[in-house]
Amino acid sequence: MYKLIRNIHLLLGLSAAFFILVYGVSAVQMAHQFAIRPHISTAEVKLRPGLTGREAAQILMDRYGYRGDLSGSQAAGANLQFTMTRPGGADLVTYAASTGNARVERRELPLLGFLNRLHHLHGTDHTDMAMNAWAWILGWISVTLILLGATGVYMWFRLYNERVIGSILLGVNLCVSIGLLALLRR
Amino acid sequence: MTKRFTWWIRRIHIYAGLLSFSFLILFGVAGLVVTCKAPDIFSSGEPPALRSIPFTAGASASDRSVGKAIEALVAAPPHGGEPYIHRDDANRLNVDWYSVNGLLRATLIENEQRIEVRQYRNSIWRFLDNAHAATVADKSGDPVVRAWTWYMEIAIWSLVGMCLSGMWLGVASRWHFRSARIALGVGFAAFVIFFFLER
Repeated sequence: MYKLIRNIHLLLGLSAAFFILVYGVSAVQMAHQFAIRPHISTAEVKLRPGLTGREAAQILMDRYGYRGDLSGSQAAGANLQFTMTRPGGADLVTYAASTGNARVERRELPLLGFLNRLHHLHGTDHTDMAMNAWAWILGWISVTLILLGATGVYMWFRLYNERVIGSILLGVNLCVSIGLLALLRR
Repeated sequence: MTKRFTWWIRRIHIYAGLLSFSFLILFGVAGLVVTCKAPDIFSSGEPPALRSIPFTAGASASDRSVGKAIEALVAAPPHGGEPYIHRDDANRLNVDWYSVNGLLRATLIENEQRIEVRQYRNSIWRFLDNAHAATVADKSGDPVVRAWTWYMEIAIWSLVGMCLSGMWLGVASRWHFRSARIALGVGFAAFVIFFFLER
């Protein structure tokens, strides 16, 4: 039994380690509010005149490789504006329906910003399949964390020479965290 | 030398895990709450607790000063942060207090000269999700929230430490185990693929 649990702990941990690091590092970024400054670049794209926001976005995705969740289109003067958002950044498109000119302002997030967005990415109702796939990764990581905790405690309990220090640490952890949660829930 | 180092890394891995065990479970539950889309305060179907307080706003007062007057009149919820004063879609002045337990919203109904106070209390699942998101960045003056966020800080660093120490332990002491090499390789490959797909 011990050997089986140890192998489950090892294999789950190694396979999920890089994903868990994403959540850990981005949590440090959020807790300490390290600044995130996007890199901004622009591109001009010539589309057909008279398109709706959705049609223009579809052409940008199909022919020019843009992608992400599409926001609703808004009128900005004589132009249409919409955004395609993905964890790595966002593309703000200003489309002139009269001329067909589209100006794409790309806001590329640095690594920490990207990890921050991944941390918040959830739900399988995105139009971008990669974003939906990440939501399943999140589910898998969540179950993995619970299993790593449970199997870890089981393995510690079987290490007889670690019981005293371990019991103190686990006792402190459970008393403080459950106590604080109960006080917070009041 | 490596054996001694690995011995210490194992101790750190075990102790960090035990010191933040409940937070590992909390992080896992929080991930499942958003993955399974547990109902939030607005979609739970639970009606908010309602009460009404007579109030007349000064005829020439600004939104900010009226918001501050409402803030003084309506007791802030336990563990609530700084109130958020804003106007809603119907142009009514709202003062919102968000806390781990949900939302307390005071809405000024000017023509009826009263404040309507709605208390939205979230489910235990959304409470746990909110609790996992509380960090030292919140800068709350509430001692319970401060204590929680500092323990959360320890838990976050423990998670990073456990990840790195766990990888070391897997590589240093179980590298002969073929499945361990495959698990690390598959995990790394999946991570790289997702990194570029999401980027």
